[in-house]
Amino acid sequence: MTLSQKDIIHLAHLARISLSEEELVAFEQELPSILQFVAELNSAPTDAVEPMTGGTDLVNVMRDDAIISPLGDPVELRAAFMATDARGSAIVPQVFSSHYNSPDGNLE
Amino acid sequence: MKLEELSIRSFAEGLRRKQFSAIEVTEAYLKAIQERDGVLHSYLFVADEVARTSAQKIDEALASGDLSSPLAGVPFAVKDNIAVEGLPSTAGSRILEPYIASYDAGVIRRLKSYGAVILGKTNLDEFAMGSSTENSAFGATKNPADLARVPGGSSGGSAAAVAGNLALAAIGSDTGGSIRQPAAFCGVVGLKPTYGRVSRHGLIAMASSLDQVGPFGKCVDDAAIIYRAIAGHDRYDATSVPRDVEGDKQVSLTGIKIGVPKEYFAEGLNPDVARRVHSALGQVEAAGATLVEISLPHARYALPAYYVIMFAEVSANLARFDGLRYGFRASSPTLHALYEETRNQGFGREVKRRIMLGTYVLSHGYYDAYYVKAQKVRRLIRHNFAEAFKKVDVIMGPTTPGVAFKFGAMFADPLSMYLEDIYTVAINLAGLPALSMPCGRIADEGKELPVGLQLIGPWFDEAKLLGIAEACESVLGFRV
Repeated sequence: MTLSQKDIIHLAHLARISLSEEELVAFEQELPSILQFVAELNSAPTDAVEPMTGGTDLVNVMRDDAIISPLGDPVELRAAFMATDARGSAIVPQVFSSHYNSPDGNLE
Repeated sequence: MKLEELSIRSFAEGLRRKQFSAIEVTEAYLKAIQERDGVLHSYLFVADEVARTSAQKIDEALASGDLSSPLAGVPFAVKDNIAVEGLPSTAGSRILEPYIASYDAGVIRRLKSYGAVILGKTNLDEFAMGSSTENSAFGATKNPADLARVPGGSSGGSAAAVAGNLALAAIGSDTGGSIRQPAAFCGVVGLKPTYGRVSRHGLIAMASSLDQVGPFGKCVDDAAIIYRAIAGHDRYDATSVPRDVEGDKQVSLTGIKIGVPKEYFAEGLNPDVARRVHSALGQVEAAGATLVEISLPHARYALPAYYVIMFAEVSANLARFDGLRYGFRASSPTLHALYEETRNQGFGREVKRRIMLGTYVLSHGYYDAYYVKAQKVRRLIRHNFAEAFKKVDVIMGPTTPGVAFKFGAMFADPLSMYLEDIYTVAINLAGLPALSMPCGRIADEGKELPVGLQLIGPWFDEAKLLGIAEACESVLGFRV
């Protein structure tokens, strides 16, 4: 089990954490040794075992979705109370300032 | 009144007989904290004014006969990852340093309704990740039994506060041993209830399928009284189970079958701890119980399965600390940099390590090999316990492989610290109730250090577990 510095940087990017040079070096040693330790799981026989996905045997009580409009037609309601465009979508004020826009103009 | 002699029951009796008032006892604890917590560092925040006000109200309610509760006026310490309205809840992390809780956690609502007095918030490993409190962003807590040693963790502040008589009782949380291990290291009683038994609402989540809130007390009876107050369904926690909580159960050791897992006395256990635990089991056997050797065949997989599942849940749960919603925010020119810098500056090394590992085990190509595999092993471990409980009433063994270690002894090597949890994590994976109680002391480098006996009970049968523990306590004779 090895992780290159590039792998660590990629993981840090996925986890939205920037790491110091010192942390990078430390994690390059520590993370593989911990992953090596948990790899012992591979020797556990788990054929035909269902994963246990939570802490209890409780199950969600499910029902099919039912669409109801207790206040009337949503398109008409929007038109009555809000500014709408040609498709009936509500128009709201812009909430993201250009401060957080990336240089190419897209929200990051 | 001597703080070291108080139990919850003797405190209530003293209040009733007007030997002291709630405010006098609260003042005595606040004074003790002021005098001695500079050294121990069990508290991160002392809520002295809030505590005085609530103790005075309790005295008024008692005088007018409006209040009758076993916890009325009892001074509590609360782990700082549990929300108490108006008080800081840092979870031991820089990222939550400026955060003030806006509501009471489920357990706190219950404690307050019973008239408990909250003295303050206790130290912990950052986000409850650790076994020594050395991972706290605000400095480690010391063990009252030997100031050169750790109190255990992650609820080390709560355990040290009770052991050091800086609170009559305390609340902690246990994800892989974080109540039981510090209870063992500090020589107090700590209970992790069945998963789903006590509300997790308002507990800052670490690993949601493993986390459970529970009490610390100076004796089994104290832990039992608190447990009965905090247990029960909470509609704000979707995993809390709507089941009745049983009352006190008197248990005679005669005829009780105690399972002793051979895997819990294998390599890695300190021989002096093993002798101490065997000797305690011998005393319990002499009092009428039957010892039965059992096997938990998948025990060796518990630690790796626990760590994979916990890493995964940590990386998901801690994604909410993004600099936008809570606490600390780094100054950065772009949104992406704001996330990364806030988390870089706000989280400590162990938290980052676990988030990175969780991200790894959940990532494409590794999800089945690590995460799903660990969930399958989790089911096998749960099944091992279910089989064992067909044969025995309770399972007993050491809580930890050794006694409290010195500061820095494990800090440099994360894996050695993880091995501290070897006897406790399987219980969280299975969702079982378990407690640690003192079973004597052993000498280590000239210090007499507490040893913890772990008792594991069947799901939702805390009443029996506590009953057996109390019977053992009277045989063993170790009480703070």
